[in-house]
Amino acid sequence: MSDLLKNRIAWAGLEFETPADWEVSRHSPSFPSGGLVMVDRRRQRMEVAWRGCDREPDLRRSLEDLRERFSQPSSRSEPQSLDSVAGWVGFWCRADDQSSVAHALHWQRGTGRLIHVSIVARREDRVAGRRLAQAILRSFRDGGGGSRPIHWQAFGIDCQSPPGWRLTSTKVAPMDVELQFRHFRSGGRHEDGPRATIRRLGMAATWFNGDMQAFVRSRDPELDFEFKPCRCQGHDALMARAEGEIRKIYRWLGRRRTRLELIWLCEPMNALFRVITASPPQFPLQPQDFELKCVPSMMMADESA
Amino acid sequence: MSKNKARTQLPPERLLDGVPHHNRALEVEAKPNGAVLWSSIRRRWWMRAPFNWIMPYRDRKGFHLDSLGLEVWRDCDGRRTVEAIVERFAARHRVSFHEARIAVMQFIQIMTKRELIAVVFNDSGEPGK
Repeated sequence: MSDLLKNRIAWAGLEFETPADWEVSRHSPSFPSGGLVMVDRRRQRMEVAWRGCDREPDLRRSLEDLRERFSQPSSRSEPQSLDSVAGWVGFWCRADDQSSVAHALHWQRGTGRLIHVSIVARREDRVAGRRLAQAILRSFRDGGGGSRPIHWQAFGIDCQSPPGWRLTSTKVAPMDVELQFRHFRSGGRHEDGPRATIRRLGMAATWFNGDMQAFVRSRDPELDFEFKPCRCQGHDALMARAEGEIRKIYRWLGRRRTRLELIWLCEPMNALFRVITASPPQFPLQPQDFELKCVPSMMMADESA
Repeated sequence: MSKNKARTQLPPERLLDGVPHHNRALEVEAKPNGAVLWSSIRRRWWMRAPFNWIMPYRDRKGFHLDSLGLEVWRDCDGRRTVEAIVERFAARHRVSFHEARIAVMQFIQIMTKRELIAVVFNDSGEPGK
């Protein structure tokens, strides 16, 4: 990681680095096509959009289309070519009186995705802006999907979804982030399939009394849990197991689910982590399969502030 | 602000440059898990005698702050910007700046609406006073 870039983001198979105080503000969970918007403390700084493109596209033609779309008729200067970063083509254009935008395109053969990145730089520090844009583009990796796991790192969560799993919903609130994954069969149906939820609850010191069993029971009082202490990420953790659906009619219909929950408190991050899986007893899914990590450096706040 | 004056909306990026000041007319009463801020109520004509002989009105109202609210209230000392207050909150509770910003700015907004603090902006666009 370079000096400029201190924050790693991984989303839908894309991985890149950004300055420390940039954060995802809008996102879509889809792997084949979607987008991410990054903001710094005051304004939008970067947008990443991707879409499926099985055959290699004519990048120069796509670039010309972008040039026409984003170059302002009132602008006196022509869009300038983006200094070459291996695998990327792009240009700089003026956005308004104070800022310029770098537009860059890249096609990844392995995932069959066309990636469009736009990075905003202040006009007053043009040199630093160019260096930053180049460093971000160089840090881009596009992988995962198909038979490979997909890495997710954002909002203080760092995990991997096993092959065949997709992120289906996200709830991002301050100090409470939840990612939900579902397993898709080859036909694309997921209604009755196994599911997993990953959650980070921040500021634990202010509300959590340390009793993980009571916490798990209070969240799902109708379930009868069995608890087993264990270790996870160097912390004391708790594994909770319960039968998710106890009504006989559902058991006969084959909708019985085993619910497993791995929960631990990470004191350096001041957060409680939960990984909850619900899967048919014949195909048990372990919370450890999602490889959730608590990485204190992901929280950007500086203790000395 | 009077109801007749048009409200001007500040751009979101400028909100971080504001400097919150306490309302000096408030009395602060320490409590075990926070504090109560007491502000006096302006006595309207129907709150004075002889009406208040029949219907006694309270002469002040209190706002209870929990320990987190009290932390932020103490940081609103007329010297720190909203950005500095958010940074301190994020560092104390080990959350990201963006998470802390949402929580702190919502709190400051509520306090401002209730006239417990006033946020001062410098017209020149410079951060701080």
